[in-house]
Amino acid sequence: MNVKESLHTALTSLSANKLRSFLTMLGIIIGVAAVIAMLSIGRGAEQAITSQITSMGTNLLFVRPGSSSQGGVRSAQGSAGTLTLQDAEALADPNLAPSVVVVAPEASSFGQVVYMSNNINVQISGVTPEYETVRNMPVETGEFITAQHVSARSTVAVIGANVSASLFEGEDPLDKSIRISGVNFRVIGVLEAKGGTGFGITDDRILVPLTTLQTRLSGAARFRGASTIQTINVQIQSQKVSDQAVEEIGAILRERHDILYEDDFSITSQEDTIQAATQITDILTVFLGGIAAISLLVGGIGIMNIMLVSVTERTREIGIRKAVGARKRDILAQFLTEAILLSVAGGIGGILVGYGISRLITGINFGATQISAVVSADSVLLATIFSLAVGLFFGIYPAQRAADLNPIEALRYE
Amino acid sequence: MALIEIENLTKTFQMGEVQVHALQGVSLGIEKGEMVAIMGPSGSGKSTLMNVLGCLDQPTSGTYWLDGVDVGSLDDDALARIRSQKIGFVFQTFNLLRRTSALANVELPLVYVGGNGSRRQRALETLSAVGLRERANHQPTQLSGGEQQRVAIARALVNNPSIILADEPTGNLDSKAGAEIIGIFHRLHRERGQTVILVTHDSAIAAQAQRIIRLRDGQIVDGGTSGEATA
Repeated sequence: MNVKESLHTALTSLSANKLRSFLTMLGIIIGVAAVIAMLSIGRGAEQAITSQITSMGTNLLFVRPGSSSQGGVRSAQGSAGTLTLQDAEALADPNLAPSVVVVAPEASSFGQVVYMSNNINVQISGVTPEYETVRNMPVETGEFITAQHVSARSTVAVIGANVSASLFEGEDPLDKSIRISGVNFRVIGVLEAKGGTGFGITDDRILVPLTTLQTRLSGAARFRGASTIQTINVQIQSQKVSDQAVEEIGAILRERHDILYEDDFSITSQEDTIQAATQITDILTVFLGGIAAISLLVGGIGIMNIMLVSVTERTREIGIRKAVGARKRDILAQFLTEAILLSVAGGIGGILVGYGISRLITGINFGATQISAVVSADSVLLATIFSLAVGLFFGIYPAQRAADLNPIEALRYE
Repeated sequence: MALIEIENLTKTFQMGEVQVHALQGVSLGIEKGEMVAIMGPSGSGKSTLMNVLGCLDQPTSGTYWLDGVDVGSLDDDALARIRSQKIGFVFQTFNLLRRTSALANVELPLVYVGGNGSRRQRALETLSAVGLRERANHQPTQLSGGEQQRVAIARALVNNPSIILADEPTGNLDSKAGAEIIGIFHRLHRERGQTVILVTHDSAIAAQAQRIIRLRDGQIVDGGTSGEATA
């Protein structure tokens, strides 16, 4: 009996029990659809997070102070307050740090912001003009902080999209005066909305010149006679020179801080953040996919169950086929083909349903983030192979049982 | 050498605690082209003998030569091939596939020999030979008992086997339909020269055969060797 013959026989007997065949397939359809949908959502989430992280600029390294240690008690990372504006300027030296392109120091605090009768509490960051390009923060309207603003310690502010919305409620914020921690500032620009929710990406912030923040707003801590900063954003030439850049920056800071043993700063790269986030979504994807795979397994057991019932029901048919010359392998092929046909048809149905689900998910807005669930070719391939394997695995036992039936007993079976 | 030659054949079944000796030393020879009736009370081993002759079952001991081949030494696949090519079975209960047309039922043995694409044609011709060409697309439930048995005969014939084994083929039929069926067997024997072995309880039917083999308690009591051999 050839393949075409087996297919024909299997199709005939499956279509003789249409409802039962469909219900059996349903198990596989649900399983495969779940796997496809989960994988595509996981991948979509990963893409959404990665694109958010890269939206804060590209090829970034973040230099932060280390943890302080007093009397053997260690404080949190970044608490040391050992980085200064001079450190940041030193990193911009093209001879000492050739891999570095732009350096953007940043100091922040929180403050109460008041306009007319509205007030909010947001993060106030002191920055330099470089910040705009390094952190990819273009202004929507108005202008960004300039070098003149920094050197003149001007009381000007660039506000985030959310700040603009909640303080001004549709009014044009440009050239309006706001009070930040009791000091009057003039609004010179509004940032483009980022729509971010994490990883330091937020529209709830106000940018002021770094020097203004250090002198007028906070009683900033001092280190070796200079005001400290919290972060030095460093843009490097490419991701490839990341390790080299870390070396160069480390050497400069160790030299400046007279460090022999333990660094009082830490350097993290954007890549690290992406990797950490990707790891989380990967775990999530595996977890969800695993649960979905269990339902596929249950679907497979359903196939086995129905095939066993079918073999028992058709014992007499098997006896007849054997009496007219069917070999063991013919019977085996017939029932195995049925099982595989069920699972593969279910698999194809599942891929379609899964695709539909992921399209549906893509349409939903999760807050500001939209996950575009992507059904990739490899997850389709995986689902197809998996459902084929399920059919083969769960079909082989019932088929073997059918093939091993004694023809005489099978013919006598009532 | 005869077409069928069995010697000192025994078959023992284990039925729970009890051993049933269905065949106890049967020796038999049947020539090519003979028409033989097997008679005997129920439990005498007729069906067991038919199953062994039809290569559906292997004997416990003894030898069975079919067309010069020692059947006892064959594996499952080789037995299936013999059933497919040399033997046509007709059962008392017809044993047609349900919800399958008469034509597809007749075609079934051809599926397992593989090969040419003229299967449908051959099945139709065979159906015509038993006078059922017009009923080719009817399912078994739409056919009378006699018609069903004719479909079963067509199925047995379609591979043009050398031996037709019929186990009480008229047992479930009224006498008119039974007579028709027996008539078909006679015609096949006469026109095609096929060897027909027929189990029956009806002595009138048995009397029309060339030889009657009588079984009792798993042993042959009469007609074990062919007429030519004893003559």
